[in-house]
Amino acid sequence: MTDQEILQEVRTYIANTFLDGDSKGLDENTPLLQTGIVDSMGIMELLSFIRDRFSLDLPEEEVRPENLENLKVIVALVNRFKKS
Amino acid sequence: MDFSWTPEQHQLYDNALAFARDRLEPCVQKKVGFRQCFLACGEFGLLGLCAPESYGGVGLGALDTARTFEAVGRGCTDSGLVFAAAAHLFACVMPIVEFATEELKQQVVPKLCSGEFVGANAITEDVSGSDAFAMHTAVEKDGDDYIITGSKSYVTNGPFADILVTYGTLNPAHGHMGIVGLVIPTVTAGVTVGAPFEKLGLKGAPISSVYYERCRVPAGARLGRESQGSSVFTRSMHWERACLFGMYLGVMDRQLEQVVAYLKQRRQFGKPLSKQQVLAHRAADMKLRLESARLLLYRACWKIDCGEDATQEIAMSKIATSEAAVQSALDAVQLHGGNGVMEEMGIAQMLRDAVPSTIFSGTSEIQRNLIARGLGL
Repeated sequence: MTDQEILQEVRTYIANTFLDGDSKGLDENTPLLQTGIVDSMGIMELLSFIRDRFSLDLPEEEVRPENLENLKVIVALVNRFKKS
Repeated sequence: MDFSWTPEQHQLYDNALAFARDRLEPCVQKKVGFRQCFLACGEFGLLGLCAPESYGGVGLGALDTARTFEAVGRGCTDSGLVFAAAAHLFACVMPIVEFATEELKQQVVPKLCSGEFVGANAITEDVSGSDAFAMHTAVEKDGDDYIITGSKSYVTNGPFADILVTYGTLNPAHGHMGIVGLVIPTVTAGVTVGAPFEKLGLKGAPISSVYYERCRVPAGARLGRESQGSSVFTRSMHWERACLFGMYLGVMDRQLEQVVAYLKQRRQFGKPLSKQQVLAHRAADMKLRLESARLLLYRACWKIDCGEDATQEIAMSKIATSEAAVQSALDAVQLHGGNGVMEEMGIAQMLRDAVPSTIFSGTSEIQRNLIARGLGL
């Protein structure tokens, strides 16, 4: 799966789950946490999605804002922890 | 599905009820003071029910903890005091047990369990109530220390607190993941506790504001990781929303016993009130409401004990129990007629103590949001 495909899947998930399907203005650098697009319950849902969809073996200590603050770093996170 | 209790669980309930009636209630009636009552709770084990034995707790699970609070709520008429004990345990002791360093746990948990220390949770602010993570209290890093500046409102146990589990924003750019939880002794320089507030009910639970003026604590005071504050708080609310409300089941048991006795004893129109079907039906509805709430609460606690995500079950249980407490208290007042509004009957007090329950630990509206979220709405 390419970076672009991962980004598109996560973007679609976030738009459908947290933005009523409206992905306008949601690019790879949009701050997801600071803007409140993904709130405290949403983060659990997002983590659950990326863990299941991309079969991630994601250690708890990696659940840090630096790894979740925008789509760009989420794609990097997925690539780092995808089960081979 | 097995709904029976073990002999040990029956014994636990009986012991807690006896403690509440024979030890705690006399303290309340004699007005021995909050600290003395708290020490009595600590001596019984109430303040550390679900804390590990190695830190001075009792080591119970959520279900047994909730049922113990149910017994105490039934046996003690000062629901404010029982609420204070529960807030201390679920929103201060448990976050420390589950997220603090080993050194900090050894240092404070035994004293919190014994009642030597009174614990409080400080998250709500004047400007951020239900929107708890929109807090203004700021945390900055200075070397290995944290410096906190801001204020908290509605801090249960604040006027007597020795330990404040305090939440503040370390990095606003990280939203709810920029919140950090810190354990702050009230003797720390820069901490000021405001005057106690007067409130509608739960008067036995002291409450105040707390102010932090460049208050410095070491890194070892942190709960979990820097980004974990909102998770720490959410976890503590799971404990509180599930187990604390056991107290209200006990209150409703006591209330219903009182209602039934009154309906049988008082005669109007030539027969006992209990033979007036319209009144008996109201009592039956109280029973139905109580048992429905009880099942939801037990199931939520059971799910916590299974280690499963219980967000939905806890939210449903919290709504059912708190709204049952308010409605049944109103019914009890109505069934007692003029006597229901007389202080000496204790019925009016139950109503005043029930009203806050749909607000604290997350309002009914917030709980419905959580349920709707679980439905994908």
